[in-house]
Amino acid sequence: MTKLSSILSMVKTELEMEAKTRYKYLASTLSDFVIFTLAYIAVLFFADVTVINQSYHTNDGTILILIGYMFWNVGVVAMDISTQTIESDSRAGILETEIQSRFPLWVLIMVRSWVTNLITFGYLLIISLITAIVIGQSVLSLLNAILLVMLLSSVSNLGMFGIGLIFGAGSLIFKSIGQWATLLQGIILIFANVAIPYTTWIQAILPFGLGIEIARSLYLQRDVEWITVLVYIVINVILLCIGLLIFNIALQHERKYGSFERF
Amino acid sequence: MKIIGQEITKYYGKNQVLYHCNFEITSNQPGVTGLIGPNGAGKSTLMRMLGGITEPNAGKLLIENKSISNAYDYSAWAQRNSYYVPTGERGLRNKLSTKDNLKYFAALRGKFVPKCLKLLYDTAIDFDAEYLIDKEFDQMSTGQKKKSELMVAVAIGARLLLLDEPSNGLDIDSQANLMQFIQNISNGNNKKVIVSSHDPSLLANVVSQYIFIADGHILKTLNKSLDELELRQIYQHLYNRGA
Repeated sequence: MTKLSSILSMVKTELEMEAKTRYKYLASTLSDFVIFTLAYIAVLFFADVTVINQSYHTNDGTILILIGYMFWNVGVVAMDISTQTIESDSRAGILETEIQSRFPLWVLIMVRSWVTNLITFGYLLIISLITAIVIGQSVLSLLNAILLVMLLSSVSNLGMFGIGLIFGAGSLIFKSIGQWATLLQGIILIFANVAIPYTTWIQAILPFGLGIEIARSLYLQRDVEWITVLVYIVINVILLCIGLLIFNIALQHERKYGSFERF
Repeated sequence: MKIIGQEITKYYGKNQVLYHCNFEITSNQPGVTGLIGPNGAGKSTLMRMLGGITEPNAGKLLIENKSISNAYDYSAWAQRNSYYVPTGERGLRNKLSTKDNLKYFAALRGKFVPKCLKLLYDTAIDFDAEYLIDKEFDQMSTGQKKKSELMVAVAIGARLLLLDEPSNGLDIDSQANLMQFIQNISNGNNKKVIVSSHDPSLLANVVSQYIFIADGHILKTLNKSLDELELRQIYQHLYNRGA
């Protein structure tokens, strides 16, 4: 098998196994879906759209906040997957077998992140269709927003994945640090342009900061400067490279001085 | 083909756990090699290195292939050809059947999944374990879990199977049954199996090569089968304790 067909086979198999696992842990899957839905509804109905509407000169503030929320949500998934994979697979005793894989461990984690994000977008589509029908919102405008986020977040998810790999490196060395990733996600949510307008360049160095602005501009059918797209891509590629570098150093360190088993 | 360990030394952080270990294991012949020693001897550490999961801090692990007159780096060979089964009721994905676990791990190794599935069915029929194919891993008994893991390892095409303390948590009958299963797997599928254990009665009569280890040192290697009495005597002599 070529490398590409092997990766495609991995994606297909991981999607099948993830779907089966979620079906078998039905209660947990349903509770995840309920929490996801409640957060979505909270953003949709209770977010203060006044500032957003004023800042973007539009009446579509709710959708713009929803775009920010979706970027954050899929980004968090991409960021969490490294620590989750290392900590849970080590407990299950399958991390060793995964290390014996044909592919580097980070490729396996990245495949998982794609699969999980695909499922997350499935959730978003279901919720959006239901919401649109219930509140009389245009189904097309919601679908438009979701597709924009799906496309553009593939770049910011690389950066979030890179940050996640740094935490994954911490998990390999220090064993359990998932809670620090959660703390960082909370801080990012407060300062990022998720529910507030873009006001400072500091928001741009967050993986999805510029992605949200590009998606909002495209949704509002406004022009996007090419330099914004370029900076958006460069920031995320740099974050991914830093994450890969640190993760691979930690993995090599654990191979040399650790055992992968002390969880 | 031989696996050769030369002056293998291993640290966990600042703690040294293996000291200048030397050994040779013939890897291209079926049979079971027993890594035997008390708890904390360094067995699991050595098993993980043999699986290419971890690396020694000093010394060399080599794979020697006489047909090409060459000895080369072991780690890459081990990652392609070995399968490590950890101790305890772990090693496959919970909530997934043996078949689904095989599909997952075959995909990870870039194997052709339908071919692996056929091998799984053949192995299950040969060893009378078809009932495990569609059973979820977390619904299995401890002994069934070990068999399920072995079937996955065989179906994936691993040439070297590394079983870390497989008898932990098993009653005496299940231990005997598992060891018979391991021996049959090794002989019937032309696999080299390395089993670690602190229990001499488990390894007697099944193993054709013994590596005795204690406190990070390899004390003795024996390339022959032993019955339980002989093995207990050697164990008692080496470790100065009743077995």
